[in-house]
Amino acid sequence: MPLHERRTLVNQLMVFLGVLAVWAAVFAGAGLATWFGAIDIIVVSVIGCIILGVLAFLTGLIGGRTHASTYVILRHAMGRFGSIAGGIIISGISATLWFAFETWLFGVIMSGAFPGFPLTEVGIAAIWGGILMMITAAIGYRGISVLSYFIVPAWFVIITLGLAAAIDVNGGMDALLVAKPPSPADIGTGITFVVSLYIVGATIAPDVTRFSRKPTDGPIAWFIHVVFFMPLILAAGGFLQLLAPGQNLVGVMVSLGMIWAVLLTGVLGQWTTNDNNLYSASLAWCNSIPKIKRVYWVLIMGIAGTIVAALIGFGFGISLDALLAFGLFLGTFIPPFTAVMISDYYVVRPYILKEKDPMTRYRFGPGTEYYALSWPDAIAVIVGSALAWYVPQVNPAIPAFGVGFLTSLILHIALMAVCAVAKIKWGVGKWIETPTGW
Amino acid sequence: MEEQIPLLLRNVRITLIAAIILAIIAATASATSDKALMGFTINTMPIILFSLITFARLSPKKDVKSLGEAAIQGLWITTSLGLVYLTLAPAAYFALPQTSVAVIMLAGAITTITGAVTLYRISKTTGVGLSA
Repeated sequence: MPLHERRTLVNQLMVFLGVLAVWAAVFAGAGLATWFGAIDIIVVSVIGCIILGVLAFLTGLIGGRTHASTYVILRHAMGRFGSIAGGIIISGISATLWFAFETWLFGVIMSGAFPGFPLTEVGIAAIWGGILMMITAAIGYRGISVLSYFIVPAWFVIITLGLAAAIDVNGGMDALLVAKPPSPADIGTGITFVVSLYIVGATIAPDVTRFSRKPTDGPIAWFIHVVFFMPLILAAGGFLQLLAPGQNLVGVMVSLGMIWAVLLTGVLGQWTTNDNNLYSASLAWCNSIPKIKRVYWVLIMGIAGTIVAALIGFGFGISLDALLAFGLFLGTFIPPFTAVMISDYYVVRPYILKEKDPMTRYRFGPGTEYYALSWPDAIAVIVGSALAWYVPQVNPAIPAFGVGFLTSLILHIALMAVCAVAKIKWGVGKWIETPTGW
Repeated sequence: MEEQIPLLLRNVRITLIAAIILAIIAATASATSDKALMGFTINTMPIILFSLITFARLSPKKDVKSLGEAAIQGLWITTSLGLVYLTLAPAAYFALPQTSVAVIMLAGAITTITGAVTLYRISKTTGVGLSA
């Protein structure tokens, strides 16, 4: 990583805030109001965001020290094929699904801003919105990403003012504190949902923190933005949903005459941020299957995402049920990957494989040898994911992300310790990095 | 590039002073409605705060790249916040008279346009990217 490309803490904080400044976060907060009252929304948001902050600090610090991206880091933890599978699941599939959901949200925002027009019906707007985003992602996004960056500070102020106005016209703080959720749920479900909203971001934090000037710059920036800003956004969406069930912040802001603010943050902001999701997804697929050009991956994933967005739009309309299910899905299947990344770098390498120096623990470059697959990691991820899916069905109070994360973490460390003591080979096959990095 | 530092500093400082003055004008114009005064103060305060912080970070002893980074990070926030005046002033919720709406929107437009132009010039002069 050349020195001139490295970035400060402030710069990385701005990048992360840009990722957070999307209406999806506000709608996710509204989703929490389906389950919790105002105080509990704050509790689950703060706990979930602190967990995310700690997890991403740990993953981000690996990126800050090694200056390598998530998928490259995973080569050491999971082997070459394990990292390809991880890349596809963590970013290729998840980022495409995020693209689908934010495209659906674009449809929701358009229908709220311009109700009653056939072209702004949720499903229809999702289709033409998805096509627009796909085009900008396909032809290159540098210019439009600057535009997205430019909107971020205004976004935070507009959402704050919109929420304050919405609370004001819907009965104020007194009404908020006595409002009850329609389907109360366990705190564990709420924490899982909050963690799941951003677990992909926490896992791929090294993609940004690898540009850190000091190893801790990026991780600290991640911690600040998720612990101090994300709960505010979740609370904004949740509080409004409690006060005005069935309405969303878009509709309320439009009814208060704030249509220009909605168009700026909701339409332009959503568009400029969401084509980034598609760009990330295409890069992940391109890294895994480089024979197909990136632009074709953009089109393939863009069409798939747009179809999903339109189906959600036609099936669920503006209902948040699909968003809740999606959030819980991510919270179930992504944390096991986060766990093996963290356990490999912080426990297995220094204490089991005796690679003490944190700066040279992972080496990269042409000629570096990796296993094709690390079987303890694969088992840890599979078992962790299966239990994370099963256990909360038996006892909903137990958070799925906790089951998946802890199971994979403990199992990975235990299997690697057994391999080390019994001198069992923990990797299968061999892969030597080429001069092109493949 | 070093010889351009005084000019760069002058441009950024003028833009920041203009942003502070325009923010105060916008806040004053919003005083005709309690809701608007309260709302727009939330926007005015960070403009003044970040302008002052950026002023403090603009030391002539720094190199061009550091100056460019400090200027872009500060101006990025004030320029963006100009959009808040521009988009929220006409909202019926704030119940502002037409004259106040016009003054606030004008203040927002000038803040955003001058900020964007200065950002572009700094980026071009210093070679620091707009997403610095």
